[in-house]
Amino acid sequence: MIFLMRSNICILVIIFLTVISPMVLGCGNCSAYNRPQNTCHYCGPNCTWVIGCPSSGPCCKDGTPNAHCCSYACCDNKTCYHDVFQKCCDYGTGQICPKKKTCCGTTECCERTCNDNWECQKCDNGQCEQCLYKVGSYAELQSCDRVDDPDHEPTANGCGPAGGPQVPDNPAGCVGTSFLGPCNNHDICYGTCNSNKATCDHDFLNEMLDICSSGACSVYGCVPAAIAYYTAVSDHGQDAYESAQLYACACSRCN
Amino acid sequence: MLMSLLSCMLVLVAGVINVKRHILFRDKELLVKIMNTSIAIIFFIISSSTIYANILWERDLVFDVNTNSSPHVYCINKEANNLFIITKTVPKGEYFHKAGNLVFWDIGASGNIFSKAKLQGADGNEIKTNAFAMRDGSVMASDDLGNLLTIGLLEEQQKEPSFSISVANGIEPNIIIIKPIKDLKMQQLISFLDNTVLGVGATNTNGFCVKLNNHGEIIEQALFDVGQNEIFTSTDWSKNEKPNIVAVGLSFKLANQETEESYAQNFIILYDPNLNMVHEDYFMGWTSMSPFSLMLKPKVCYLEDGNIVVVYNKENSDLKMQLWARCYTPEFKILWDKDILPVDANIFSFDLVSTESGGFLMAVVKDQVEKVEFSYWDKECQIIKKSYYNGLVATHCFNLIRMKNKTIAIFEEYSGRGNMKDITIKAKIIALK
Repeated sequence: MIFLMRSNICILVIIFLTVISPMVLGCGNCSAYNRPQNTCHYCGPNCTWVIGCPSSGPCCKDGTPNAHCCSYACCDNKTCYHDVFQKCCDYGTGQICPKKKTCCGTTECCERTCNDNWECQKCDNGQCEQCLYKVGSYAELQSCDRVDDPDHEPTANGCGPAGGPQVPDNPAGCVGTSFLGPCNNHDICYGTCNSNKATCDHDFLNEMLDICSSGACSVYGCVPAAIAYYTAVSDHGQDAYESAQLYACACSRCN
Repeated sequence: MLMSLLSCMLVLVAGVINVKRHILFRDKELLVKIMNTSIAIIFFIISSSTIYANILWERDLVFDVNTNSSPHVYCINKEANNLFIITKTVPKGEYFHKAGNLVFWDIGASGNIFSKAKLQGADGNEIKTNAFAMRDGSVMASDDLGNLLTIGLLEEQQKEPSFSISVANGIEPNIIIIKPIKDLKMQQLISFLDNTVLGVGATNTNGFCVKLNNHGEIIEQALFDVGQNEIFTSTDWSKNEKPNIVAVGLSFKLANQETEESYAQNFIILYDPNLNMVHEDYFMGWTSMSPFSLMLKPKVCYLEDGNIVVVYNKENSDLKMQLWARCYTPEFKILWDKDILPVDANIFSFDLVSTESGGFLMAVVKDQVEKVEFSYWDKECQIIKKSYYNGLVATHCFNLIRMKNKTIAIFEEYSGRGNMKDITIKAKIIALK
C-alpha cells in the first residue's frame, strides 16, 4: 500500500514537472537547459526546446532581419510576422512580400511596378503610384520629375562651403552683424529639393543687408562684406547648389 | 593745380630774392638754410598737388533729396558724347535690396544734365525693381537710333532673374520688353556700328557670348566650356568697325564634400567678330578662395595701339590680394607682366580703362578708406602719376568708362560712417582728365 502511494506521488511529481510546471513557469525555465537563447529554437511544451520558427512573437536576434524568423520576417528588429500584408517590414528588399510584389514605403506590399533600381514610395490599392530613384548627376536630376528624398533632411554648416575654406560668420566684426543666420538659411535653401538658386541667393543677400541695416555697424563696413558673400554664392555657388540638390531630391515616376 | 603752380612760382621768386639778399650779405650758412627750406616747400607743394584727382566736373545723381540713390546701369552712346545712366532710388534709411524706382539720366560730355525722368512702363506706371544696383546682370547699351537696350530685372517683386531686352527711346524712356533670354546672366552689353549688340555673360556654369540684332534676336553665340565653372568678368573690343572681342574671367572649382581644395585660374579669350575663338590663355591659378578674393576679378582693356592689358589678382591667399598687370599683343604674345599693386589685406575692388595717351587708368577702392586711388600707367606699364578722390566710396560698384577724351567714374558714395538709417547714399559721377 505504502509502495503504491509512493508510486502515485512520484507519478504526480513527474506529471507536475513535465506538464504543469512548464505551463506555470513558462519558457524561463528552459534556460536551465543551457540552450542558446537567440537561435531558431523556441521553448515548446513540457519545457523542451523546439527547433523551428515562431510565427509570431519576438525575433530571435535583434539587428539581423530574417535571420532567425526562418521564412517569416523579423520586422523592425522586433517581431516575427507571418502575415506579410499586415505590415511590410523589410524595406526595399521585398523579401517579406509575395513574389511580384514589393515593399512600398515600409508599410505595405505593392504590385512590383518599379524598375530594379527604383523604390516604390506610394501605393494605392496595391498598385504602385510613385517610384523614386536617386540619380548620380545634376543633369539627370534636371531631366526628371524631382521630388523630396524622404530620407534627406537639409543641414547647415554656417558660412562657407562644406569642407571648403573657413569663412568668418561675422566679417564686419560689429555687434549684431553676424551672418550666421543668413548663411545657415542659405545652406538649407540650397538643400531643399526644387529650390531656386537665384531666389536662395537673393534671399541670402536681403537677409544680410537687413542685418547690416539693424546692426551696430556702419553701412560702410557691413555692406561690402554682405555683397562679397552674395557674389561668392551668386557667381561661384552653382556646384554647391547642384550637390545639395542631388542629396535633397530623388527622381520620381510611376511605370 | 593752377593754385599749386602759382604757389610754386611764389616760393621760387621768394627763394631767388632771399638768395640775392644773402649773397649780398655773404651769410652762407643762412643762405643754405633758406635754400633748403625753399626746396622743401616746393617739393611739398608739388607732391600735394598730385593727391587731388584731375576732376573736370562731378554730379550727384539725386532725383529726390529724401531718397538714397545708386547707379544701376549705364552706357555711353556711339559718338561718346552722352552718358546714359539708370539709377535706383529708395527712401532714406533703406538700402537698394528693397524695391525702388528707376530714374533715367542723360548727361552730356561737359556734365550738363540734359534730362532726368522716372522710368515708366508701357502701362504708364513707374517701373520698380528689387534688383540690386550694378548686380544681377542689369546692363544697358545704346543703338544707332538712340534707343537704349537694357537687360535686367525690371519687374517689381521679381526675384528670379528673367532677362529681357527692353527699349527706351531717348529723353522719354519707354521700356518695352521684346525678348526674354532665360538662364543667361548678362554682365555686359556692347553696341556696335553694324547695329548689333554683343551680350557677354554666363549660363549657370559657363561663360557665354551672344550677338543680338536690334530686335533682341540671337544671331551668333559662343559658349565657353572647358569642363569647369567659368565666368567672364570683363570684356572689351578693338576700335574697328568689325571689332574683335576680348574677354577675361575665372575658371574655378570650389571645395566641397568630394573635392578637398578650391582653386581658380584666370583666363583670357580673343574672339573674332563672328565670335569664333582666335586665342586663349590660362594663367596664374590660385587656391584657398575667400569671398573677398573672389571679388577681385580680372579686368581687361584694349589700349590705343591694339594691345591688350589684363589686371588680375596673383596672391595665393585667403586674406591678401596682389594686383599684377600683363600685356598681350593682338597675336597673344606677352609683352610684359608686372606687379602694380602690392599685397594688401583690405577688401577692395578695382576697375580699368584705356586712356587717350595710349596707356591705361586703374582705380582702386578700399573698404573703410576715405579715398579712391587713381593710377595712370603708360603702355609699358610705367607709372605716370597717382591721384586721389576723397570720399566714402562703396567698393562694390565702382566703374570707369571712356567718354571721348575723358574718363567717367560711376559709383555710390556715403555721407558718413553711421548706420544705414543715419546716412545718405547717393549715386555719383566724376569726370577725370
